[in-house]
Amino acid sequence: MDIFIDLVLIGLSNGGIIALNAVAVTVIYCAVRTLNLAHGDVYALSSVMTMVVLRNILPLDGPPSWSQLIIGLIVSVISTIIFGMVFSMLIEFLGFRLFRGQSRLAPIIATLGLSFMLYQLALVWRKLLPTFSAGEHRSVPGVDELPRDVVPHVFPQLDVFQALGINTTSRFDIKDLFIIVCAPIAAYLVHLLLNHTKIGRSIRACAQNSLAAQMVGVNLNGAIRAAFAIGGALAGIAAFIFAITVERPVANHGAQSGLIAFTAAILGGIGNPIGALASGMLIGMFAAFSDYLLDGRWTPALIYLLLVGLLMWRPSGLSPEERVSDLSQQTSDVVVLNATRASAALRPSAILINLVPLALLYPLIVPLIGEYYLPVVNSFLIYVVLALGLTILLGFAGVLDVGYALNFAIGAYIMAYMTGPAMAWRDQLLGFVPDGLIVFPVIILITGCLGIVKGWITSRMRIDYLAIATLALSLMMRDILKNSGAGGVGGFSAIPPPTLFGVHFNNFTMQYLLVLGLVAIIVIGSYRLLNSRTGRAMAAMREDEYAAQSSGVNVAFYKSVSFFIGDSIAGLAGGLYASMLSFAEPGLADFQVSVMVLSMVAIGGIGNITGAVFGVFSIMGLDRIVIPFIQSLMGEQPFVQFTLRELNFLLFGLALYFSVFVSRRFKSKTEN
Amino acid sequence: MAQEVLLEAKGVTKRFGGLTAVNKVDFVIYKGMIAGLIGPNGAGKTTFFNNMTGLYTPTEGDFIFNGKPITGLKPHIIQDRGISRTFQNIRLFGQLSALENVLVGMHTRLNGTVFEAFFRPKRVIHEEKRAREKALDLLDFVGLGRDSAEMAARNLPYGFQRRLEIARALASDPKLLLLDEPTAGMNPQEKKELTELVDHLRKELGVTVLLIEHDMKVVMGISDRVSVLDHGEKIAEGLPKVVQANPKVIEAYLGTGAAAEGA
Ligand SMILES: Nc1ncnc2c1ncn2[C@@H]1O[C@H](COP(=O)(O)OP(=O)(O)O)[C@@H](O)[C@H]1O
Ligand SMILES: [Mg+2]
Repeated sequence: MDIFIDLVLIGLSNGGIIALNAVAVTVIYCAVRTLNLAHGDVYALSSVMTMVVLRNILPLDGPPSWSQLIIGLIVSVISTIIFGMVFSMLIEFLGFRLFRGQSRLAPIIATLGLSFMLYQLALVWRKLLPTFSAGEHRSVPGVDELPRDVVPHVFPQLDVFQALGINTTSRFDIKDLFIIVCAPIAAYLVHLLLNHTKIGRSIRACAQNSLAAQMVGVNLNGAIRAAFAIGGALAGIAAFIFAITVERPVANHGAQSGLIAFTAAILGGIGNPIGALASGMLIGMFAAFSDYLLDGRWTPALIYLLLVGLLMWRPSGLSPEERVSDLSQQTSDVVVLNATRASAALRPSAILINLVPLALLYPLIVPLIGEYYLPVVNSFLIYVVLALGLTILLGFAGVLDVGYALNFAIGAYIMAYMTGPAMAWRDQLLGFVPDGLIVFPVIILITGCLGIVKGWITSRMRIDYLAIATLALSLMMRDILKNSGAGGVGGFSAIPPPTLFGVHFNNFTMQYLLVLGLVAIIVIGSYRLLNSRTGRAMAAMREDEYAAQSSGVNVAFYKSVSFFIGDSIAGLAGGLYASMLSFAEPGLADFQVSVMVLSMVAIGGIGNITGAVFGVFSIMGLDRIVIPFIQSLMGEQPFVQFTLRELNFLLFGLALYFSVFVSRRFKSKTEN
Repeated sequence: MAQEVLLEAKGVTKRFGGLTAVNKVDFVIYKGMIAGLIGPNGAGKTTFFNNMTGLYTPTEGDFIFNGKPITGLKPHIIQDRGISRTFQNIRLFGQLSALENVLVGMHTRLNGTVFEAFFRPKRVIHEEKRAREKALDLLDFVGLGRDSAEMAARNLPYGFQRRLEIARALASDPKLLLLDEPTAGMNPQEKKELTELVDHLRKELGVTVLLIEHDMKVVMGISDRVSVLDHGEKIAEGLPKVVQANPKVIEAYLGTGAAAEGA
């Protein structure tokens, strides 16, 4: 019984923070009708703010005096709230207002880019603080997961149960009481704000129907800005509470906090603050019980599962009756930017333009800079394969898959299972290590079919829901790979080089030729696809689903086809990656990998085949060649606490953001 | 008159929550005719189209096309059976060229499979070539001209976009063509030209046309028969001249006050 009380209390106090973020997400959603993917990062960044302020006011060792404590708390809560509001409103401007009325895809890609920039900012900021000490866990190379910078103690050690004279072995810290009291108060204030003030009413009017609201004189911009300000303030409060109770800033990438907040907001019926509050608490409780009854490692995966389930259940965020009226809205999205035109596919020169430079790369690079860079070039080519696959899925078919790395990891794991050393199942079942002739088709089949499943799961979702659902699925897969028997956190290593037709591709030159061959096949295939009945059907569905259906296109079928093609290409890339770099690990399914590929595709113009190749080389070239080179020129580390290479999130973020930003300018010029 | 029934609607009703947008409408279209469907804004005309083409499923009632029920079928199947449509608020594939828009409209009449997209057998190459020629002819027919064929649909002038939508709808050689306010937003001269085009396609291609119009003048000129919807109900039907003089219709269009004045 006592353990039950413990769990409920832990759940409620965790839930309080989730609830605050969920309410924030819901209010912002009300105003812009899109999930704000950068919200989690505003929250994470704000928690650093709290830490910085408190560290400057409170003593680090020993208890603070009452006056210090009161001043510290007041200053830090106010500054964190303002900080959160400022960043949230910045996101409103950069991520939403600039793209309003243009495309539903653009704000999503833009906020994704902003989210990575904020993440980078939080990392750098913390590392610049003198007290930073790196943590031990590393899942992403070069990035510290759990830095141990601490927030000074604020709360006295006090057990509420004891103080009240309740006889129980359960503990109820004063901190937990604080959260449990704060969260509902904040949520209730938001509720009052939305229902009983002018600005609140105008936010709700926008939520119902922005056009009509504008016609009756609601100031749309003002209402949206207010919603983001409220959301930012809530993120600030949540960050403040988190920082002072847990005594460190939010450690993981804000994306995870964001996804959990989305889960609560959607569970509570999106757009409903009180519902978000209740389901935030509920999810906190759920997490506490799952941590205890199952294992803390499985809790995020379960929450992702819940999120995907909820999104399937309410794929448009509305009740079924409201959904029908979607049809009357204009849904055309400007998805592709500078896409390859089908007519280009008729010219063989188009294909050569892509392949000749890649084919020349090797003979040029070896004499120039030596064998050292060969593996790097080979890994570039694998990313070319990935980027081409995503070009088909996103650029041709308009499916914004934010968890594209899922099947990259699966492909790598299939390769590990089939060819890796000491695989008991294989030795029993097959008794030999299968040739690529068997392995690659198996990879295509399995990852392609997983792609179809993904397509089926997301088939009726609107575009922002599809984005977070694919992200949640890939993170869920990462956790499954990590926690299950499949090699664990470390994954598999010592995977032998690829073989095909009995030929061992065991040196870099041969591997280069192998991947180049695959790239050639995919490039030619892409051009042919673009210029076929199938490719046109995919493009039609991307442009306008209803019009495509009415023109005879079976949208469900072509979505499956797109997922099959895109995901089997990701699987192939994963298989090659595992066999050429000789390892497979859960981190291959990480958000960072997906976003890196997405930024490669975006930088060259979404849907542009040559652009995808260019994007890979610019991003990877900067990340793997230019930056290390600059760093080696500078000799000693220019900054004490971090290296230039750790700025790659900024790179991805900027690439994503500016690719849509440029398309926006371009579009407004041509249309006026 | 031995006329062959092409499409029949039997007691079609569509409700959105408490609102009845289409109310027990019976409707017959004979082969080869141009049928007009008019009614004030919000009368339920577009909703009636959406039910017929499978974007919505009727709450009650049935559609019979060519002797077979089509109620509740998926839109792409209904299109395959021979009903094509245009949209009141133009819905082209903006970033595809005019030619490609028409080729998408031909989707159900082509055979190239996913595999053939990659392997491009001779058969598919020929099919694509013929499809392109036919699409260019269609662009000519609706008055777009071959110069616009490679232009992205969203960069075409408004009038051309309307015509392109008609070309796309015609690409599948439909038996029945549904046009939803094809002259909306046009000036009188453009309206006249588009009306001529509609007349033309019946004569030259032999398609049956169901034409929604808000503007009475357009329908009166070319329709063999006009039906009037108001508040989701069919309130009149018959020869254009007769319908035009029907007091119920005048009342629906002009509002009760004006009708009373006229009486
Ligand atoms: N998806 C929908 N959800 C709710 N109401 C709708 C929907 N579509 C149409 N309506 C309503 O049905 C009525 C008829 O609309 P519509 O068919 O567009 O009229 P018309 O085309 O004759 O102008 C209107 O009152 C409209 O608001
Ligand atoms: Mg209408």
